[in-house]
Amino acid sequence: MKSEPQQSPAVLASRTFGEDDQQAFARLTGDYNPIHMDPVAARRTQAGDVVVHGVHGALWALDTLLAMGAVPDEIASLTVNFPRFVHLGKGVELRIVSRKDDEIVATLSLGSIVATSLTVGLGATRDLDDTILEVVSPPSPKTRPANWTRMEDVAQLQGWMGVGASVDGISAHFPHVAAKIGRERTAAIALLSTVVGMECPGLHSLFSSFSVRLADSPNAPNGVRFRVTYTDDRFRIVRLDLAGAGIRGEVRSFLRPLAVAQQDIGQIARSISPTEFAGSTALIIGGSRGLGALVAKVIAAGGGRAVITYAKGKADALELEAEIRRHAGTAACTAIHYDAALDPSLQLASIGSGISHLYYFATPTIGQQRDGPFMPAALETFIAFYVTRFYECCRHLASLSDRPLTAFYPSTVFADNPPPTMIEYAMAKIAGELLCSHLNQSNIGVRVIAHRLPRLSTDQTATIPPVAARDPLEAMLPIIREVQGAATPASESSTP
Amino acid sequence: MTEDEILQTLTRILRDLLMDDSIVLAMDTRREDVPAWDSFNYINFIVALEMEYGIKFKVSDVESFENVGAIVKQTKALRS
Repeated sequence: MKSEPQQSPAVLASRTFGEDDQQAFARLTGDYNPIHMDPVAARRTQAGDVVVHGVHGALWALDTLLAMGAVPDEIASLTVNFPRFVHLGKGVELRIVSRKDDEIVATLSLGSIVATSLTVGLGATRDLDDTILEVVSPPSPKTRPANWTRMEDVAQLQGWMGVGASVDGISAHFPHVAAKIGRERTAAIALLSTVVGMECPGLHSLFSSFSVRLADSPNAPNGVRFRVTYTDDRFRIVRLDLAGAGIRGEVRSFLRPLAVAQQDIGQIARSISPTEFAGSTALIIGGSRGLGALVAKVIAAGGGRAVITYAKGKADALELEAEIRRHAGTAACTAIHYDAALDPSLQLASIGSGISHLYYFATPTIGQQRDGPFMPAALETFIAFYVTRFYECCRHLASLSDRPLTAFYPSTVFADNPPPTMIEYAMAKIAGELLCSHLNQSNIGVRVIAHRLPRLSTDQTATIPPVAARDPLEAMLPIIREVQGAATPASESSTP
Repeated sequence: MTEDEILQTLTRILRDLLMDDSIVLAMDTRREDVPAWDSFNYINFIVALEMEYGIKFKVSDVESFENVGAIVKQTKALRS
């Protein structure tokens, strides 16, 4: 891709949303979707971590523009796109990028990346009939957020969201918007977050965009009716028409694919001899989910003992521990807390000297927001996880035991041909590979086996549309057997 | 319609989608080469392209496009 130089418009305001902001917006609107509220649940989604309510960011931007007097004319319409997640703690910058007679376009950006765009249509409100949507019956989800998982479940959904109880709180939160377009309309726009996040598509939703015209209809119902009018099964797109409370328009969203569940240990055991890994104890850093969880099940199914670590996902780790113990006995698995960003020696003090194998799946968030072609801070973080802390972990475990330690280092096929957007990640993994070779030539009692893993099907790789990915067990089992069978330090690394 | 004309249209669609006028797509551009062109924006891009030309891609096509050139060629094939 070539790039044409652009001069960026001035930053008008900036803001960093935090946990208190999430709670406040959720209380005002009722949008408690876990992608906004629960770090453990959010990390299993495509967002990877908790994200700001998109409508919150958009209304804050509009409120700020109005407070500055940047929108002197009447507002006739509002179109908002959410091309990028805004994670908690990441600062966004507000800019006006274009101004014409009939519209103002503003953006919220993370560095050079636009996360939200607002097109404010200027002019008088129109006499649109915002009562035309006839809702036959409200949706009746058994849980909130509504747990729809199949496209056919959402294809016929329709419902009604009252705004009355929310008007005071939302208007006080966005006073300039309320003064400009009216309290009910402001509440109705805020509650689009709730329609998408809690009702339709609900729990597994991603809000893509909305476009509303301000309707001038005095008899409008004090709430928003919504109805699914279009779905695309190929890409899990769900489009809603909405009308009421002085607005009329459309919402576009996705029904996210569900997190990928790894095979249960009973299924895995069919591919493994029950004594294949007997006598070994594997420490699996990052073992509460994904490939780490798979390795733990394989080791335990083969008669070995798995010590799994978690940083945030305690519930996931305890669930995995329970599954393994049910199948292989209490001694087969232990879950411990471990923060791979910190010094391993104190954290591993309690596990004793019996560790024979290390599987190192610790990682920070890989898909970071970019603000330039190279991000030194990102490289520093990746180096800390994939090189420094890995080395310290190996040294510490080797120092505890008389028998040699065999470690598995997962590298990546991105090291072969790194995409520009993942250059720091690939650089750090290559540095880790070099460390593995070096450790294998050093006499410190550690043998490291490194492999560049292909794209494997885990919850971290689930995308729309589904991308071809190998079965994790099929890919990992030969590697696990290689690692478990490598009992003595060797002079050469398997690193390319 | 030439491949170059389709390429220009693809560039315009992606610029509008990502609000980034610095984007200039080439036939060998990969999705990973463009900051913010993640899987969801890829789908939004494909849908906008379908609407622009009145075409429908198969999911298998969308999964297998290795670069922008492959999208251009399939677009041209579906239009002919």
